[in-house]
Amino acid sequence: MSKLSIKNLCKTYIVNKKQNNVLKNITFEINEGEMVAIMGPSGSGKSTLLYTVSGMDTATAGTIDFFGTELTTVTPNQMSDIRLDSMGFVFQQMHMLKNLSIYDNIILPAYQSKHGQSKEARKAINQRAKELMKKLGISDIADNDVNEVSGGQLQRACICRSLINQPKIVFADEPTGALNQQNSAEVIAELNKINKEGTTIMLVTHDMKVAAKCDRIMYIEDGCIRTEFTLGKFTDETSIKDRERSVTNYLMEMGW
Amino acid sequence: MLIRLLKKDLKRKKTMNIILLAFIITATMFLAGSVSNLRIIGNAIPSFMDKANVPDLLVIMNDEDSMVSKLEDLLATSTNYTSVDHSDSHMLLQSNFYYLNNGKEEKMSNISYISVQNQNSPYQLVFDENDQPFQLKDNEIALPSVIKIDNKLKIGDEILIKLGSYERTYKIAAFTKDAMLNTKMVGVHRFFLSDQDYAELSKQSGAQPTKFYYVMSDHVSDFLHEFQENNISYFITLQRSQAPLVYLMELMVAAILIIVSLCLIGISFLILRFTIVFTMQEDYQQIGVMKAIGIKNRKIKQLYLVKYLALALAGASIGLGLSFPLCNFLTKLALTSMTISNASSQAGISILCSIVIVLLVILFCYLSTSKVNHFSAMEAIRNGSTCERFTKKSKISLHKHNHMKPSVYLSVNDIFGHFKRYIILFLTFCLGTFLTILPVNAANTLRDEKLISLFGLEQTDLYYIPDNLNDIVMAHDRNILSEDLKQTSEEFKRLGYDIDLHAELALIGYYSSTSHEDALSIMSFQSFHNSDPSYPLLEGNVPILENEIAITYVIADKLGVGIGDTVTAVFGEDKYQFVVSGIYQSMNNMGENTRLSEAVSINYKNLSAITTYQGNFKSLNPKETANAIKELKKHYPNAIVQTPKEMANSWLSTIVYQINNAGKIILALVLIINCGLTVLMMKSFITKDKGSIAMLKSIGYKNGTIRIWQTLRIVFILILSIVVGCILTFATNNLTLGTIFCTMGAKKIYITIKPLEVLVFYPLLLLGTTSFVAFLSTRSVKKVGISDMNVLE
Repeated sequence: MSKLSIKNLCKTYIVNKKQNNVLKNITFEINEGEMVAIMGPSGSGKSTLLYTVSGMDTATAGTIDFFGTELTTVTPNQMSDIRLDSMGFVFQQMHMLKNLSIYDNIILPAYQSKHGQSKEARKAINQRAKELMKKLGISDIADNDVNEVSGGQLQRACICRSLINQPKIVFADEPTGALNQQNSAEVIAELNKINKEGTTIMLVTHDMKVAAKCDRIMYIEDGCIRTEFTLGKFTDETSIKDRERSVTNYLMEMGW
Repeated sequence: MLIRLLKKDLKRKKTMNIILLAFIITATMFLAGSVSNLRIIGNAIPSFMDKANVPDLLVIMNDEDSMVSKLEDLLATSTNYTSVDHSDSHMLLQSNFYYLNNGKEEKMSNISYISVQNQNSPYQLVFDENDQPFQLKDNEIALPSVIKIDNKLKIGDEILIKLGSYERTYKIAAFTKDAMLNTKMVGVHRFFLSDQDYAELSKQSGAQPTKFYYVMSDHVSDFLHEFQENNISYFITLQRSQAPLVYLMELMVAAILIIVSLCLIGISFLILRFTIVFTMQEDYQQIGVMKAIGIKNRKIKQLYLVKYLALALAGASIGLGLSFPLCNFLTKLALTSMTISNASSQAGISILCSIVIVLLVILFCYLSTSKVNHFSAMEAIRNGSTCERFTKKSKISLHKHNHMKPSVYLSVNDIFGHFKRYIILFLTFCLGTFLTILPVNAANTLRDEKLISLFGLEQTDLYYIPDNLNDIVMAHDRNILSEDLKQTSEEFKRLGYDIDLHAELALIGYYSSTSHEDALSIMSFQSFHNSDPSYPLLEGNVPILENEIAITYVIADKLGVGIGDTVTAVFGEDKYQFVVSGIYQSMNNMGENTRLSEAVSINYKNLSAITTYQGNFKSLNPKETANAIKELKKHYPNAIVQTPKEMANSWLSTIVYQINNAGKIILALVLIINCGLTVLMMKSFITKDKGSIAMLKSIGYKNGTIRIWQTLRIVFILILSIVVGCILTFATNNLTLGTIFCTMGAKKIYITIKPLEVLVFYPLLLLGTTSFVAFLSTRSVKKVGISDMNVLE
């Protein structure tokens, strides 16, 4: 079974000539089709872990086996190709190009991909973009500018963009952090939906309601994974209260 | 606090500030240097005239008994002069002079009429290159410094004078500064010999004896009027009051640099405005916060003004420092033709220019900071958004342009979405293209062989100036000319070239009409033995009958006549009435000339010159014609054998050379400005797009793709500007070049456009260089990290 496998991952920043070890010998695995939440207090290294694992930031030491490819040894151009074709990203701030329409922002990565150069491929990309937008309920905002839509709509558009190249994994950094409760619920529901369809998801969150819908929680503290908490696949809306309760208990144990 | 903020800001926007500083330095350097130079030369002209004891009026005329006695009679009766003196001279042609290059005889170039004389007049004194008077010994010669440069001569080189059977070598002892005469605007140059050598030369036949009259007068124009009324023919007259005009070329370089510096100041202001607006847009949060805590607009503006005052002061000071060597360099150029005694006394003017630039920068800066009033605290809170927008940001859709690569699409969309951002680039590139192509078109037009017709000559295969042409002119005999023309034709035939030669004669006459009774001294041309005259005219017919004449439109305007009107002409003692049969254009004598019919019987004593022999080869194709001319050149090494292009070039080489040089300087400046501006813009665009670049990187865009996106924006603007610039140049050719040619006497001119040069070579040069610099300046894209996403616009 292919998976994301991290071994002895370290990340050190030099701040004012002092070493700051943000990640310390982290080792874990994420299997294909899994939805994993990274939680932990502020400054514990959650986002750094996400960015280092996704190759956006470089690791100081350790290995990152990304579904069979060692990310620490690839060139920047190879990394860009992997990011384009096999990874999707959703950020807390809905980063999009402001002078492009929502639709053009969504298809932008696909048009750049080496599989998206022919006329037929682009036709298929457009078809897929429309389907994704329909699935996430934002078809009506396709031609809108980025400034003309709500935060929730924009985040769903970002999810569409992250999925347009059918990635192996979606990395999400606090995808609901800038959203209200209703939008937050909608977005996490969409993430669950795509996870059920087979896309692996690794997300960083502070929201225990979001974490409750994940298969597994990794609690990180002071640059180390302190414990893991397995919830199992989220299948039934009725069991959500129990999952939330058990997550709350777990987090309380962790001193959250 | 202001100093601390200034230091921080200067460090933060290093490249932008350096480029702005460079523009201020260059603008100050050019403006201060050229204005100072203009003033130095302007002051030097009258002092040089005094030092050289230049008369109020200099008359150069052929030493003919009839004319000299007429002048003596006038001097005996006229009250319009205070004193007069004269000296003798002999007029020779370029073909009489050679310089010896390792014993090999080389023809001298860029000279027309050479007056050889000794130094026995108290007027019109000459000085050596060190501004000192000098005395020549036997076997020594002194030449004008302008000839030294054109022929690359040095002291000690040998000059050979060939005059029929007379041949003698002289050693160059001095290069002269000759007031009024040693300039590009006056076609007479004086060569000096010792008294004994000159006496020997004057005994030789083949040199035209001439007299220099030095007239001191408070009423020069009245004296000249009397001169004309008495029908006195002369070779040239020069008034002391014309000195600024005579030294126009020396002043021209400084004038061009002033125009260039004004352009640079304009571009500096555009850059200044751009950097101020850009900086303030970047700082909207700080401005908003400052406003929120109660700091007034005036105080905020002050922060920016301090920064630009510091930049302007630094730039103007460095520019002022550099303007002194520039001014010295420009002054040295002028020093070849005049003495300058007070070169170092113009620092005040340079300082004044620098102060003006600083004040202008601050004033412009103050006007540009009005944007501070528009930024509000709310914008700072809402991350730069006022929540109001009236136009759509996305102008074209990626999905509707399936064929486009994303990098191309992003560039095009940026340009359509924010065209205002690119206006400075567009205008500067456009102007640069216009300024680059204009001199190229001018030089190509002046090089065109068709231009020969604008010098009053028919376009023929061959132009031939025999080395004995002066003898023929001075013989004043129609039969001798006819015989020589016949002999030359026969000689050519013997060499295998069948050609019907005709000659072009020139004589000066006084013309008047009923509406302009004051006589005008005008050069007239007449062909000799031309069986089929076909001179191009603007309107009317070529004069054929004895009473017909064609005149230029300049003369038609001056005399107030048109086709069918009558003009009166006086050549020496002979008076004629002509009916105007045709109007033509000519660049000879700034458009002031006429063409007589060959049927007009003229007195050959009044002949001023024979311009050339010319004709067409019978039954030769263009390749054979070119070979024939090559062969004739070899066969007649002492004569001048030329194609129409070479003939026109021999008259225009100096001006074409100057235009070419000006063109090269303009091209270099345009490239520097384009590249400087591109670096500045790229820097600011990348800073502005940092967030977008980081976002694209996060979704897998490579540095290369992002760099192409950034570069393509400049390339597209550049292509658009070059196309518009080219169209602008072609559309305004008649307005720009046409006006220049019109002042030279040709109002209807076909501008020669060489597509390969002006539509391919120069545009590609501008495009290639600027695009390359644009791509290089996108290197900073590599430094943008994904963490920079938070500054997404």
